Amino acid sequence: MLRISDLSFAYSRRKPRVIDHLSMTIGRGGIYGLLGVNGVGKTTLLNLIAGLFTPATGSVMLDGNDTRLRKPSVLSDIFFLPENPAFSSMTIKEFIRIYSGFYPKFSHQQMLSYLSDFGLNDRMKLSSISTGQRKKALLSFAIASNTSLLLLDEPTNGLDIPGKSTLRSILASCADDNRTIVISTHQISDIEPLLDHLIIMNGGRIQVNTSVSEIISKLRFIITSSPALLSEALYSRPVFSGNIAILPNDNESDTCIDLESFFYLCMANPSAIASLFPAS
Amino acid sequence: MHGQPIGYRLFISGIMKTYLHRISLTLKRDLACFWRHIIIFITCLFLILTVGDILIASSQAGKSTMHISESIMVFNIITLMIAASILPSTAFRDLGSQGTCHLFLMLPATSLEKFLSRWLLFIPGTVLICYLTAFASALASAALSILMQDVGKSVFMTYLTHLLHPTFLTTIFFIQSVFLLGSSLWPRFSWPKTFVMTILLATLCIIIMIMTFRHLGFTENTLLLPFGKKIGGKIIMWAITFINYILCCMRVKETDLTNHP
Repeated sequence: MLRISDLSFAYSRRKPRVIDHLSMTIGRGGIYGLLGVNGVGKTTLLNLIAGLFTPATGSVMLDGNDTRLRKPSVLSDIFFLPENPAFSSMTIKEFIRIYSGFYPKFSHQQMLSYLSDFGLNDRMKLSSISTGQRKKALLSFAIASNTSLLLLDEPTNGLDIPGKSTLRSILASCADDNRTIVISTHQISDIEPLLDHLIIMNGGRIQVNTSVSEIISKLRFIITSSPALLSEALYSRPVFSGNIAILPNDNESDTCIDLESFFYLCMANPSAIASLFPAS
Repeated sequence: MHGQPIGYRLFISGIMKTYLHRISLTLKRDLACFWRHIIIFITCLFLILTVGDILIASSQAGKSTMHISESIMVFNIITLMIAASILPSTAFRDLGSQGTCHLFLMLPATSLEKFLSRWLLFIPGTVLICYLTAFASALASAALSILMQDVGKSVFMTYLTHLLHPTFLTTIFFIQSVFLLGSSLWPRFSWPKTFVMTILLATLCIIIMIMTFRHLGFTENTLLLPFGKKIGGKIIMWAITFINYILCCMRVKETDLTNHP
């Protein structure tokens, strides 16, 4: 569905490349988590996918269409909600009236339902509500647009605890085989239960692009205090009740994934990750 | 179209409907975003023209009606020319910040449709706004003058017919096109940057022209006058106007998020 080929990008010729010969494929359907340390290029990658940046090399093809050309037929099937979205001083109802016409699959019913779930109503003025409320309103619109590709950059930033829970419920209910949602975030715990796939960026490239089920099939995540197990572990870190250790899954038993620990493993032991999960 | 197969005609009319529908959606969106600026512009222009007219009429009380009319005409025409450049200079201000630029670029419409929507609003739309405001201001000035038992109302209305003169219209559209292009090149502080750049470019062009013609042995009188008469200033101005529109449209098309300051 989304094919990224040999993508490179730098903000200027004098600056080093943020994205360097990156290639990957994102299939149709599912929720992808895009993770990486600060400054690795997550937001840059989302901007490139949406066609907002011009790459130095390579291309991003969505169902065979180059997103950089920004054709209306492609744009009406992508919604990108940035971390700090712009807004105008209009009511939510006016916002819906003006912008919904651009998205053929937009659902008013879903929009009103999501607003209600978030504790908002469409008579509220976007400039008069808090940042968190505004984020909820725009998230509702983004999800109700029913685009095939939904890009969310730090969607839980600014949301209160009930808001994060509501967002998880809404995303879980709207995810299907025809819709791909890519979520870039530092707050792994906010979206961990939702993720089907994981994309980890490191050094301007994709280090991991794999499904959560594949991670679980190849790795075991256990809490242990056993020195023997800890010595075998690919990675371990102390927690309240012992240590979380990540070991190879030799006995093919499924354990609950700990994304945070897996992320640390990717940063600490890239060679092990490269052999277990060759990036496509 | 009449000689074409019905399927082809339906296909073309379908495409046209889609384009017109998207342009209307884009125009509706732009109106919703810019209506406050337009209201402020109309209010300020109305006040400036009305107060200016009354002050001129009062300061020249005792002089002939024709003299007062001419003074008011000069003031209004210059004010309208300046005013007509202000709104177009804000046409693409949303390209000047990341958030609003993101919103503009992600809008599902072609660059041409986005440009046409802004063009409709800020070029003929602004001319219409200026004319209607000038008419309202003339009426208001005349009414105030009658109340103050000052000069006759005709001194305020006479100049309105000049607004429909082809030379005035050509000049207005030309000035607007320069500032429309400027707004796409410099979304922030567009008016002063465009003004300064225009003066610099015009000065440079004039210097180069004079030096070239002198080098070729022509004087201004022997060449420029018949040259200007032959080619026609209006044709040159309209040509530059359309070139500015094309350049502006191209600039909008190539804009991406890295262009904002």
